[in-house]
Amino acid sequence: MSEEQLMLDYIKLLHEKESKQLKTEEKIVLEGQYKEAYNAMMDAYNAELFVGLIGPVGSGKTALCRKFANDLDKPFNWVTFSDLVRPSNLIGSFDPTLVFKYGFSVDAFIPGPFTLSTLGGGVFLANELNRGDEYVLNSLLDALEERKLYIPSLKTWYDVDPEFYLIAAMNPAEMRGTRRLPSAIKDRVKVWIHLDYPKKPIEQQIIQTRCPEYSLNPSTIELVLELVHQTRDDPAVELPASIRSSIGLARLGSERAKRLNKPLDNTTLAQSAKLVLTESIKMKPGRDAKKYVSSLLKRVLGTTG
Amino acid sequence: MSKITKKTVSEISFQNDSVVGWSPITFSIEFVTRLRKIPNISHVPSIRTTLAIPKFLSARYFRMNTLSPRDYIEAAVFNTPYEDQDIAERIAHEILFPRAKKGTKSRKRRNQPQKRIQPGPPQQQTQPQIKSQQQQQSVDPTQMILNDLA
Repeated sequence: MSEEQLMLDYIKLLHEKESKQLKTEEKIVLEGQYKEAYNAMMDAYNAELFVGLIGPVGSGKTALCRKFANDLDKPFNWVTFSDLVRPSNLIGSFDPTLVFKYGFSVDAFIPGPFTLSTLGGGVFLANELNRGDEYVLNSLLDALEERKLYIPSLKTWYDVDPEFYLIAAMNPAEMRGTRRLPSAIKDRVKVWIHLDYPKKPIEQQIIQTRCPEYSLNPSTIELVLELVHQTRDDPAVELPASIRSSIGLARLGSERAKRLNKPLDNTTLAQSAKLVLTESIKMKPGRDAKKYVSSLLKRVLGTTG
Repeated sequence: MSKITKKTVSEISFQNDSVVGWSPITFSIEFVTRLRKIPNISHVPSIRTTLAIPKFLSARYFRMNTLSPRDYIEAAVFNTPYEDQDIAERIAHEILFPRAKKGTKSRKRRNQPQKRIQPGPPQQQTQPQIKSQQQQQSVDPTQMILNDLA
């Protein structure tokens, strides 16, 4: 294939795959803690109070936020905070090529997701907010409190749309990579909802919803959940298996059984669990994940695969 | 500043609010005042919290058309940063149910036949904890700092 053809294929591919439908139907089991959190979020939204969701990695915070934003039927933008996120990633910046044409004017300015939400009246998800730098977080303050957004590049203040709404999602402060939130932000995000890993019956429903193509029987899901929940209850595990791990384990096990043309038995499940769990959990210092997973499999499934 | 009387409370309460003696506003003021007095909380509540609690309760009232003590407690807990939510829940309980403080038994429970508590290690563990809490309260903070410096 010539280089020109390859280039054309790329362009064709990009055109074909351009997403026209940004809103996706969020498959979420709105029961138990999720239902309570959703109701509290709805109350907070109606009371014009910004929400902060706190929970461990993979406890369903982002999925709940997406569902909430979808239900509100509003434009939805988000940024996942880290050390590398700067105010320009939130507010926007000049496009150098457009600056040549238009100069430093609004025409050459590309607004960031936060600007789009504040001025367009959308929902903004500040994902992993407590991983962000204080300097960056402070750039949100005016919009949250004064309902005015200052865009330094344009040297102009803008009115924030009354429909603008912010949801912050974050991991508990004791998790690695997180910072203490500045008091100013803490005081402006007013409703704090804690989400933990769901209880077994809810997680069972989540697995069934997320793996519709496999007819998983309840006893298999029970085994998957037993493995995952034991990592959550063990004090030797620093970062336990999340809901994603439960779904991943159920899917990989089912697919493996399908390929081997046999029912999903304990051996197949153990083989899959080794692949999924070993890297998805993090042990406390001095403990070995491989050995831990092997003993867990022996205990729960009676085999290490 | 004039104190809000019982009469004013009943005037500004919602119709289906089953909480006696408190309205969302008076509860919020009392809750924030008490929370501010707690030493070493991660975030001292500001006037924004005082405003947020009645707002939250109003939104819940308009969604559910009723308010219960549980809603008041939830409002207090949700409007407090995560680190202080346990303290917030305790204070909200104490405000709404002043006689049902931790450690005291209601008349109903006192009349019920009590389960026999088996002597064992858990009981032995709880006693020193209570003792140490009492000790902590009685220690002079200045003395504690001086001890640390020494």
